This record gives sequence, C-alpha cells and structure tokens, in this order.
Amino acid sequence: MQAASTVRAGNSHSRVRGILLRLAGVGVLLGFWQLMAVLLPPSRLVGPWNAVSDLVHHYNNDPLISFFGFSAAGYGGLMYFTVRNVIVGVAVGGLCGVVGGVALARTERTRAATEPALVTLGTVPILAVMPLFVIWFGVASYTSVILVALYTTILLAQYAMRAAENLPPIYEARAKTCGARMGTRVIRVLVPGVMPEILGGLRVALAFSWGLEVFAETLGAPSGLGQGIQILSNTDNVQGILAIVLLIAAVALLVDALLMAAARLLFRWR
Amino acid sequence: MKTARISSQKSEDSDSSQAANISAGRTTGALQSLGDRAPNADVRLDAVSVTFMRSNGDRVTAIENVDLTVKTGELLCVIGRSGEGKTTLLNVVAGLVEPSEGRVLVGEREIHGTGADRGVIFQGDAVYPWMRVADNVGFGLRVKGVRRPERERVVDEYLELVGLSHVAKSWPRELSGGMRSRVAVASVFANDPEVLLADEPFGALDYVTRRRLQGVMLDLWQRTGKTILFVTHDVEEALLLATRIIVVGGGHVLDDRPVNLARPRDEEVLASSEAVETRRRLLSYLGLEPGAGSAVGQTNE
Ligand SMILES: Nc1ncnc2c1ncn2[C@@H]1O[C@H](COP(=O)(O)OP(=O)(O)O)[C@@H](O)[C@H]1O
Ligand SMILES: [Mg+2]
Repeated sequence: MQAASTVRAGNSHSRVRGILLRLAGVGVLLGFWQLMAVLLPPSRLVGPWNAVSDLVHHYNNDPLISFFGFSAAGYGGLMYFTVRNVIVGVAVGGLCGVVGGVALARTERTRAATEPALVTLGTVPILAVMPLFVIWFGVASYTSVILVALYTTILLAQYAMRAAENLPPIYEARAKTCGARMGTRVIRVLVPGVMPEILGGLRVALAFSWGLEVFAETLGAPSGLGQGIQILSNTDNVQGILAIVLLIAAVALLVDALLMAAARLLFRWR
Repeated sequence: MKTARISSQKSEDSDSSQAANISAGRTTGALQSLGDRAPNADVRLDAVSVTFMRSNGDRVTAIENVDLTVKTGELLCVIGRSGEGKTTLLNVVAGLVEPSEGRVLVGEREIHGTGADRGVIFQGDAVYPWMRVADNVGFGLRVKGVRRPERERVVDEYLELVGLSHVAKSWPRELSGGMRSRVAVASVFANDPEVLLADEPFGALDYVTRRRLQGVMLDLWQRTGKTILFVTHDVEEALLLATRIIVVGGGHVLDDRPVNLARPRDEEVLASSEAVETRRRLLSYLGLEPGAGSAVGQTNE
C-alpha cells in the first residue's frame, strides 16, 4: 500500500502543476484583453478591471435592471435565476438521460428503434428550436429549463447507452449468479459501472447549458443573465455586458469545479 | 481461527506466504459445520444441447445431447481445447444460458435461470472495481439480505482463509491479479452456494501464483465439501485437483473417469504410473501427443 500512496503523491504534484498551467493560460487571456482594451475606445471594449468593478458595483443593485421591473435588483439576482435553471435542467435531464439510456441499452429491441432517432435528434441545432419553445410554453421561467433538460437528456442518453454497452457483461452475470434482481443490478452494478464514463458527458452538458440558458433568456424570460445582457445591449453598455459575461464564466467554472470535486470523491475507486 | 497470519508482512505483491499457510491437506475446523450438512447438491444434465445463433446467421451447436451427473462433494474437472464448449457447459448449469434442449437439475429441482445456489468464478475479472475488497466478498450476502454484523463476520473469515485480511479496505485496483483472483474465490465461497462453478479461474496467472491458488481452492473445497465443476485447459491443474475428470470436445463428453490419486498430490504422487497414464491419455485428447487415442476430430461416435 506504500506504492499506492506514492502514486497519490505523484497525482497531487501533477495536479498542482496543472492548476499553475491553467492560471497561466487565464493570465495570458486577461493580458490580451487588457491590450485590446487599450487599443480600442471604451465604447467598444473596456479592460477586465473595469468589468470586474462594474460587476462589484451592480451585483446587488443596478438601476437599469430595477427599472425594467425584474424581481432581481442587480446582477446577483439575475444570476440566481440562471444558475437555478441550469442546475434544475441539467439534473432533471441527466437523471432522465442516464436511467433512460441504461434501460434502453439493456432492451435489445428498443435500442435498435431509438438509437438512430436519438442520434438524429442530437444533430438538431438546439438553439434554433428555442423560438418554437417560446411560442409553445410562453415567456416563463421553465421554458429555458425544458430546453436545457431536453438537450441534457438527449446527450446523456447517448453517453449512457454507450457506457452500458462498454460495461463488461461479466459484471451483470456475476450479480445474477448471486441472485440479484433487476433493481439491485441497476443500482449496485449498472449505475456505478457506467457513471465514470458518463461524467464526461455530464460536464459537456453542463458547460453547453450555460450558453443555452443565457441565449434562451435573451429570447424571452422573466429574469436571468440573458435578459440582463439584452437590456444592457439596448443601451450600448459594453462594460455591463462584459461584467455579466465574466460572471457567467466564473459561475460556470465554479460549478464545474464542484462537480469534479464530487466526482473525485465518488470515483475514488478508479 | 487458527490459521497463522503474518500481518507485519508488507510486500507489495502479497501473493506470498499467507495463502500458502493454508496447507491443502488439513481441515482446521472453522467451517466444518458447512460440510456436515451436505444436502443433495448433485448436478444432473439430462440430454442437454445448446445451440447459438451467430450474428451472421450461422447456427453453432456448442454442446450436444450431453448427459452428465456430478455427485455432491465431487470436484469435477472439465478439460478441453478452447472453443469446445466448456464455458457453455458451465453457463448452462449456472443458468446464464438456457439449454436449447434437455434439462438441468440441482438436487431434485430443475433449474431455470441463475440462482444464489450456484456460485460462479468467472473466466475474466468480475471483481467490482467500485467496491472495496470486503464489500466485494460480502456482495452476495448483501444481495441475500444478510445483516451487516453477520456479513462482516463471514467476510472476515473468508478474507482470512484466502490471506487477504490486510487488504480488506483496499480498492481492487490496488491489488495484483493473483490477489483479485483470491477475492473472486472468497466472494463465491462466502456466498455459500450448493454448487460452485469455476471457469478457468487461474488461467491468466503466473505459475507460482496459480499453484498457490490451487492450494487455496483445494483447502476450501475440503473444508466445505462443496460440489465443484472446475473448467481448465491445464492437464496438470486437473490432475492436482480433481476427483474426476471429463474431457469435452466438439460439444460432447469424450472421456469421463475418476482420478484415484492419493492426497496431498505431491511430486511423487503426480509421478506415479497411474498419474503418468492419465496425463498421457488427457494430453492425447487435447491433441498434444499424436498417436494413441486421438479421438479429437472424430467426435461423432
Ligand atoms: N453467445 C454466443 N453466441 C454465439 N456463439 C457462441 C456463444 N458462446 C459460445 N459460442 C460458441 O460456442 C462454442 C463453444 O464456446 P465456449 O463454450 O465458450 O468454449 P470454451 O469455453 O471451451 O472455450 C464456440 O464455437 C463459440 O464460438
Ligand atoms: Mg471458456
């Protein structure tokens, strides 16, 4: 077991290096941004520092946003709406996708019938469908949630199917010979066996869902960062838009980091 | 539990002396009670055929019209070349494959599908990587609904018997191949099946590890008195373990004889004239000594 701890130590060492590399990348990006801000007039682009300062100032209260009568008074309130929608959408879609995909993979005939349909659905540009959703469901908070959930379901069902096919059949055979029924096999064998492979899909779904949600909000929503961007762009408020973009990026990174931390704990066995 | 355990030992590959401490010839008490109840666990195949449909539409008859009875407490070795139907034979008894014709009985019951009364040690690594070693060994008991204290007691006992107590809390990825094989062996015995089916369980291991695990297997068999069907392609392994050996070829049982060698089967016993004769016969069935009794290839008697 000494060997195992050596391996761990190696991992944490390379993790530190990975973090440093990532920080360096962010630094280069910010430097480039600052440079462009110096070259361009403030009506086109402001520097990162100005954006951050705008963000801090208007996090709790922004006159323009209050003026438009959202329940939110500042960027923070808008963010709450967006984050809630993305998390609910991805969670609901993820659950449907994983359970559905695994179940489909285990029933030969349904799989043959659904797999091509799913792949085709997956190629539909989901953003193009949003205006239809607004027509169908109206300007409601759940309209974008449905969009995000649908996208996540379609994506994760495909991941789950593939993962279930890749899971060695011997694992389920062993459970069967121990007398395990279908429910036990799903909970104790199929789901833990496929989760690590699905994690990648969950990350993709989450990352893409921020854009999806915010774009959907710009088309019509009672609140959210997308509506914020929409309002600010009507008044050419470049600084405010950049502040919101920064906020979205920060929140997306934070949620992804939380997901990865949870995954590290859950998949210790790998 | 009198089995000596060297707990201070910290070698990285612990396929070392712990397992070897379990000497194959002795029965040290602890599990005798299991052997004593010896219910009728005869396995009977009654005119069993299995036909597979290949994806290209071809039909393959993996085993054909096989009659076979394995008596309670027997350690039957099934040998044969690869692709001759050994795994299929075992899977039919396990209930993982339904016979196309005929029936399979355990005791008086005709079996359909899998059941915890028939435990399997698979040809590949079926240890769940997402469960710690102890949870793997206790998996079957958990499925059966055995309560935690009782489960832990049984798991500890079998981990000790296969010499893995010191890695009970480890993840399978931290174990060597031989240690994982021992987890598989312990998992099946801990589940206390009536019949134990082993499909080339040590086929992928190096010689030394394989010999040790054969010792572990023999020891557990002698302690528990289980009916065991043990598939192998290794004639030496069959000679070392079996009370009876059958040769499977082309889906048929080509040869079926008891092995009456004394135990423990040391070098001397395995060099006796009876052993030499049996070895020669088995090898010829496998097509390794052309000439005498080359029944392989002319299986349709
Ligand atoms: N699920 C299956 N589908 C089609 N053919 C199979 C299947 N399982 C086994 N077979 C065929 O049955 C024959 C016996 O296979 P098997 O029992 O695995 O042999 P062994 O274990 O002796 O190597 C082989 O010809 C194999 O190709
Ligand atoms: Mg086989």
